[in-house]
Amino acid sequence: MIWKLAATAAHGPHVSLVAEPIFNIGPLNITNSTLLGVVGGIIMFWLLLSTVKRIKTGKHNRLSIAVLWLFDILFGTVEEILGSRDKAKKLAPLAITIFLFILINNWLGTFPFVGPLTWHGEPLFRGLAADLNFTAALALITMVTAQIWAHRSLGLGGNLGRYFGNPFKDFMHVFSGFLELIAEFSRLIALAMRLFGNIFGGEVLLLVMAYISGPAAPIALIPFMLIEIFVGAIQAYVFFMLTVVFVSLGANHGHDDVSSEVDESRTELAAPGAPV
Amino acid sequence: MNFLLAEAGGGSGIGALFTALGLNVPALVFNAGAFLLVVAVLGKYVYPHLIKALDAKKEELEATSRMEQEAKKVLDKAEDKAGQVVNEARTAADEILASAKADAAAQIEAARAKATEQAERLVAEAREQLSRDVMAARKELKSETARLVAAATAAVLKEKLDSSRDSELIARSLEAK
Repeated sequence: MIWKLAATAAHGPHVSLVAEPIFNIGPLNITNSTLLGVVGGIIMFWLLLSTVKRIKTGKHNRLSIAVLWLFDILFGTVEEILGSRDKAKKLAPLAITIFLFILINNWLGTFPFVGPLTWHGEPLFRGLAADLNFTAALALITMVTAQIWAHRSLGLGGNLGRYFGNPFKDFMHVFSGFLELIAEFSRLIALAMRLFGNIFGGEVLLLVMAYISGPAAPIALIPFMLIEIFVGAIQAYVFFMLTVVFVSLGANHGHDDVSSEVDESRTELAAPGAPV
Repeated sequence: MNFLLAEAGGGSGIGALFTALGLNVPALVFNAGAFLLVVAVLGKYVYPHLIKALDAKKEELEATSRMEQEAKKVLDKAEDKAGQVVNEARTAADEILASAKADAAAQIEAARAKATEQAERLVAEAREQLSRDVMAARKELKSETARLVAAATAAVLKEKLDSSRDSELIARSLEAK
């Protein structure tokens, strides 16, 4: 398969920003990224359901222990940021699904069958996160969830009060509220574009390296695939962390201790070498 | 930016940019809906089991921790009790030792007094015996002297002296005076 990737690349890298439609269901285009997303979803369901089955029977294997260990870490992170186990139980399904779904699909995207396998001249599979529709959907879900949590925590007036105020009473608050409003939209766009850019860039990198290395591509691509595996995991974790942090920002608005924790989390995420 | 807009067909504005990036509302809604469906299914049928397993593990850890703390308390209590018993034993041993020392001192003193008394008694008895022996020796010496005098007198007088002759000689001597 990797030879085919090299052979395809030998004709010149075909780069498309847009996911190619494979077939239609009514007005909806089913794209190659959606197909890989379905494969990733099936793998994720199989992993989690087999772990649940192992938990019920009490007969664990290495895979179920690894999944449970990963879930424990992620759940612990959510609990630590939100500061409450009950709150963590409510947010964890969304945040952990985001992580697992992005991680599995990012790793699937580095497989050699993504790209060379074609259907009527179009690649049959494409990395799910290399489709802006998916990353934008996740970013929208995250920001809407953050707003819902803020609304539940602060009430309608309290939540709106974060963005709007009386200019005659506190002009600075009006200004900072306006900045906060812009920040919300910039977070939405940054969330979507960061993941899309990293994963799409990774795919382009693999294609270009395959084109440049020519016949040596099967060996030359291996380090880049390893890098993409690493970047895929980092990006999944970054999206997961930002989801939890944005929700916690809304839910704990005004609490200095939580804000400082969030700032620390951001500092960690922005550490040198982390491709955020 | 220009190459994106060119790819979008030469349009301009944010709409053309979104088109160039492949962003379209039906796909966005489909992706969001499908993902929320996945979250809902996993949240209902999968994660509760995983969270339950984590809770069970957490409870198990807490129970182990509690047991460890209780065991530590019991150990501390046992150590305290052992220390107390050791202290009591030490105190009792000190008391016994002090008592034994006092007894030993008393016994030594009593033995010393008894020995002194016995020695003094022995000395007194020895002195008395010595005194009696001296007296007896004196008596014997006196009678021996008298016998020797009688023997010497008999030897001088060249006659055998007996008690009647002695009495006669003594009477004669007294008359001569």
